[in-house]
Amino acid sequence: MQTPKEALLALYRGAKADFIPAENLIQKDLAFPGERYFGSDQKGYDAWGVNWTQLGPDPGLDGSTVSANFKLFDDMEDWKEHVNFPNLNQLPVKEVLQGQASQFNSDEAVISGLLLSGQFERLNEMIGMEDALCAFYEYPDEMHEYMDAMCEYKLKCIELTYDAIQPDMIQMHDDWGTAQNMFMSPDLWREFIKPNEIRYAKKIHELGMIYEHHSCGYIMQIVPDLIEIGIDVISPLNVCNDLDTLLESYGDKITFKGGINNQLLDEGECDAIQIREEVISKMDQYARKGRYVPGFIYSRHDVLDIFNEEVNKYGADIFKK
Amino acid sequence: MSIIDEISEMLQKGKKKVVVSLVQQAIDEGVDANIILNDGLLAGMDIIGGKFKRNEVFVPEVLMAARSMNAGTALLKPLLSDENAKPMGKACIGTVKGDMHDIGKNLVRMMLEGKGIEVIDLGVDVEPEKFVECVKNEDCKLVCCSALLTTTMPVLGDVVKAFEQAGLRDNVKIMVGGAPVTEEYCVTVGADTYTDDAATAADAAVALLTA
Repeated sequence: MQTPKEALLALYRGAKADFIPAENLIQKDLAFPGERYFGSDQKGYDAWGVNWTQLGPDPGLDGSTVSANFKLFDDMEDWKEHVNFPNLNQLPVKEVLQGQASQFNSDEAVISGLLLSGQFERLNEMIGMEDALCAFYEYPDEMHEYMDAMCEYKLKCIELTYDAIQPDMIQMHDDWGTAQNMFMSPDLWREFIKPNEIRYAKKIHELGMIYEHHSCGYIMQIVPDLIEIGIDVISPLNVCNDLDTLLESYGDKITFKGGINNQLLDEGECDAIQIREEVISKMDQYARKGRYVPGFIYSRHDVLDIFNEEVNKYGADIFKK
Repeated sequence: MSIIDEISEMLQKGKKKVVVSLVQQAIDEGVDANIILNDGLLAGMDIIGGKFKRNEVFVPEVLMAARSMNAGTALLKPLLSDENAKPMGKACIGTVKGDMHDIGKNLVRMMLEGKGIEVIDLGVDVEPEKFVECVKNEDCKLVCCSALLTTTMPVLGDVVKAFEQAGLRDNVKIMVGGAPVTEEYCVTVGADTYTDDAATAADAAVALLTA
């Protein structure tokens, strides 16, 4: 019988899993420093000079957002003058990652190096979403230069993460979708973002790690590209995507983590029965169709606890049903 | 192709500089400014809005078209007759208190402007009372508010209540939107209209303002 860690890794690698464990309890995401402000004040700057507002007393749970009306600079044409990549020789990478890793038993936990603020996210954090999206058309040459530079930075972050903690996997964040469609056309994504993703996947795999990519929103059109790139796990696959179709077409090629109605579980009036019903119905719907792990972006510990309990309970015999 | 059709087409392609140049050329050739606005700029924006609604174009293409429209409109403003320069109506828009998301709200603003509606953008993290204050001071007939988080959705109801408490509820129409918002939720909080995308919101806004 596999341990929960072995079962989760099997699900991520497309191998045979004995059961489905609650991934939140097994996978521990250790955040690379510099990408957020985690200080005691409500507002503060990250290592790039972006000002963040924490949305509640628990930044991990409540989240944080770029402060209203903040812009690091206006014109993408001048990005080289304004974008100061954090000095990786000065960031306390080892201390931060090893400090987080020391809280977990790596025999039991799937250790994940978490790289927040991917290339497109970082750009919209610096210049705002509208200018970031228009820059694809207004400054294509500068955008290519920026993407190339960002790729080199992220590759170094991957290497440093591996050197510091030798994690089982790397989880890279870059949101590409809205609730209805992708932010940008698949063609723009393929021109500007996909080449970077190919290099990240290659580097992560060379170092023997699994690549999980996090993108909220609708990203149906580029799932074949994600498979071609070699991404192992895509999350949190919000319900705006047709997961039935994706599993039928690609369920043996990539692991889909998500499929849970986040907005239902986030609702204040959602009770334990509804949470358990959502978990059971989605596991019944998806788990035997292909590589699937239930997942959602939680904002309440009480909801998460019930969710985890039900995934472990129902997932224990899911492949025997 | 007429210069007016060319303006519409270049706007749809997001070619701001070309649009500005064509609008200036049309002005120089003596074309009525109202025709340039309605049949060129706004007509082009209407087409791009429809394409966005049908998922044929994406957010960057809408933004580029909107920027082209704004640049062209800026040239026309001094030339529009008083009567025709009047907007179809006035709306205020904002993302509710506690919520910093702005891209959806900004798209709706642009689409409304593309329909000839004057829009006062209150920004993000807007207190319910700010919407009321704006309606009082600016005589807006339409209030558009969005919430992108399940945690901030209840503030949409607070906006409705704020108008009730101020005795202004019958003076305005309130539209709500945002990823977690639904038609059912719109009814629950007592708002007037819900739409699930920016282009439909603009159509709904026109319907509310011209009813």
